[in-house]
Amino acid sequence: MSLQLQNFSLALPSRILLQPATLEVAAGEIVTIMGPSGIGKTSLLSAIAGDLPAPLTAQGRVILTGNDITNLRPERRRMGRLFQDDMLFPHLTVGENLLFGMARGAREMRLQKMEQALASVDLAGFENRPPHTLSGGQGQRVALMRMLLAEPSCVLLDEPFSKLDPTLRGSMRGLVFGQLKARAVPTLLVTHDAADAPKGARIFEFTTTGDLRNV
Amino acid sequence: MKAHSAAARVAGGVPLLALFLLPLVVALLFAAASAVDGAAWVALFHHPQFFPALELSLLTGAVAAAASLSLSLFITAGIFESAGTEKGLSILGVILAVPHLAVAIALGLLVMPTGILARLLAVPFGWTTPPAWITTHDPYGILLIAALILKETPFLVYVLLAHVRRDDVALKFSREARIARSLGHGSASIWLRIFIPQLVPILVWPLLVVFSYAATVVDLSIAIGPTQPSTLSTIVWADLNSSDPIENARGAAGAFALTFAVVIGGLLAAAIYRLAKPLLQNVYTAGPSLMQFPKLASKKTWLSMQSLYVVLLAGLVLLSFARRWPFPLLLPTLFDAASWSAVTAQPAALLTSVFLAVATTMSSLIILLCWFETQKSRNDIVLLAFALIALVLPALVTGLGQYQMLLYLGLSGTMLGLYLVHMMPVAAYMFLVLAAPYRGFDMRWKSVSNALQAKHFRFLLEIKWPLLKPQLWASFAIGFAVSLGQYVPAQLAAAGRFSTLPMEAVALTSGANRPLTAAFALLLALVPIVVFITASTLSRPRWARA
Repeated sequence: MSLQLQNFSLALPSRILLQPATLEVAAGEIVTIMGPSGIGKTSLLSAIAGDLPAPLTAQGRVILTGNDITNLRPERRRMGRLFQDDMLFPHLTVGENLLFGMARGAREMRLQKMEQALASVDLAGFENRPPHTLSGGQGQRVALMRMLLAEPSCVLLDEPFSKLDPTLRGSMRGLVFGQLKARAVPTLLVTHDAADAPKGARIFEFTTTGDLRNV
Repeated sequence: MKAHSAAARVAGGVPLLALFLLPLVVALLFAAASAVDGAAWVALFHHPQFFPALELSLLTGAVAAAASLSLSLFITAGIFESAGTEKGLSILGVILAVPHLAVAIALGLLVMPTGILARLLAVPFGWTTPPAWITTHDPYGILLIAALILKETPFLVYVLLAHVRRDDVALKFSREARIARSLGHGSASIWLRIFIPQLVPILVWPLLVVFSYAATVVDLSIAIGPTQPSTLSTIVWADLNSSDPIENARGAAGAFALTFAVVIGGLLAAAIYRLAKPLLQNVYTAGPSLMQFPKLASKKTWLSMQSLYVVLLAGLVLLSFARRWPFPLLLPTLFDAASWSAVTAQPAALLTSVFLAVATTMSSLIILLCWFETQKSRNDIVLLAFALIALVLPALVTGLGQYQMLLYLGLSGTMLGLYLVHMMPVAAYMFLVLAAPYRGFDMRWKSVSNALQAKHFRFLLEIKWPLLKPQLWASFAIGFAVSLGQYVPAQLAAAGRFSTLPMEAVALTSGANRPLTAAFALLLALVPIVVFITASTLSRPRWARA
């Protein structure tokens, strides 16, 4: 698995946000894109995932493990996403949220996978809890497992640690990066906080001139 | 908020109490009193048509409500992203403004053996005489159900759009859709599993209003409903209008029987939903499905519905001017304005209707503004409860109670009495439309105004009301349409001394003068449409914002 952007650019009708850029993320690699808020980091992830809101437009190709997915619908791209908020569906329980993205199959097996997933993030027995009763860290851990249970081919992280308590951030980073590396999925992380980037990983700066500069 | 003295607070609530709450409560007491008559209930249950008619009424209500719900969800899912256009919303507004009765009469005239539908079919089938079909009063109530669906679907679409277009909801839905897509769900799956379950709470009360209305409506049932047996509402209506006090009492019992049946039906639907919830929950969590929502089919459905309204109104125009219209021809061979001369020669019904609509909307606006400005918003819950009661209870029950109250006060057959009975639904609807925007008004404007040393009244006149202008005009237009659509309470309160447009129109449906019927139905449709268009023109902001 790998994610490749080829001559990928991003524009508003009035200006260019990102000059044509080429970037490859290998399986299990976590590439960080840094930049101040409002520069277009979130839009870049939306463009890769295929749901860029108008009037933004993107050009260039998105290649996932050798397949050109540039024209695929978002739901066919298998791109897992995490945001600042856990975005758990409020009308479904924690367990139901996890089942929502899990491939169809035998009920027992799905339930078992769901329970295992919760246990793996220290939330065993939380399956019947409504999302609003979770703390920020718990919610984000459920969101992580919901994303992973959908078996994404690539993961896009949009400042997923920035709303967490500073004391929690370190352990959450460790958890997220560990899980992603274990599954060997290519990951793009956007953030404005340099501490978010995993150690030794490649970091790019999203500049005001619209370039991705290797730092 | 300006601190009001205790006296001002009390005074501000009095107009609403006097013109809406008190008459409503007293009318409900009168209605209840007229229904505690054991003999009347025995007579009701012995009425040979009671059970078949009740069944027909409930079935009509249930089918109309279920079909309108399904259609409205189907349409909303197709248009909610593109419905932001001002044009789309004003078309919806125009459709909502047309009274049910006008739609029903137009539909009846369209499908009658000599109607435009038969004429269209005559060409391919080679008919030279009108077909012998029974369409206008078909025994299953199909036409009645069709007219109800045609009116209630846009109403539910409006309710749904008003919710999903709220900034916070739109943002929440688009984020949830984004996540659901990243988990492999297609647009149909997102509507089914994410949006619809969250829209259920929004739909409970509107659906109950639709079901209650459809199961108990009188004027539509008289105009196009089945006759042997008829719906229970028309049987009750005949009893209430009888000169025999024993039949009057049976009618009162019948009105309550119908109400109880509606309440039980509503509770039953809620119970079924509860029981089905585990099954639904399984559907929600069955896993990703890539199925796409058929957006084009949805848009076409909505367009067809709009076109049908155009056809209905055009049919009324043609028929109202038709002098001679031999059967298979699509257009009349001779036009004249005889029916319109008849309308203008006797303008009393039109004038009474317009006068009542203007008087009730203006006074509702005044009493509601007095209320909002002087009462704490937590008191709104009382008003909300009574507004919902007023709209969910069948007009047969509230109308009966109002009539008894007017008799007691010696106001039956007076303009004041007519005004009072029209106030109830108008004020209730206008409250529902105004409450959220009025209470949600951004009070930072008040702080700015205070900082500029503006007096409170100047703030209202120059800042608050101008900023709320679109909502105030919208509530005016809706109140106007509601007032114009009143049949049961108007007919009872008028006691034969006054006539309004719906009363004339219903009376004409039993006669043979179709051009005149068409003219009145068209008038009934056009007056609120004109008011709606005027109101939306006047409520336009000074400049459009990007």
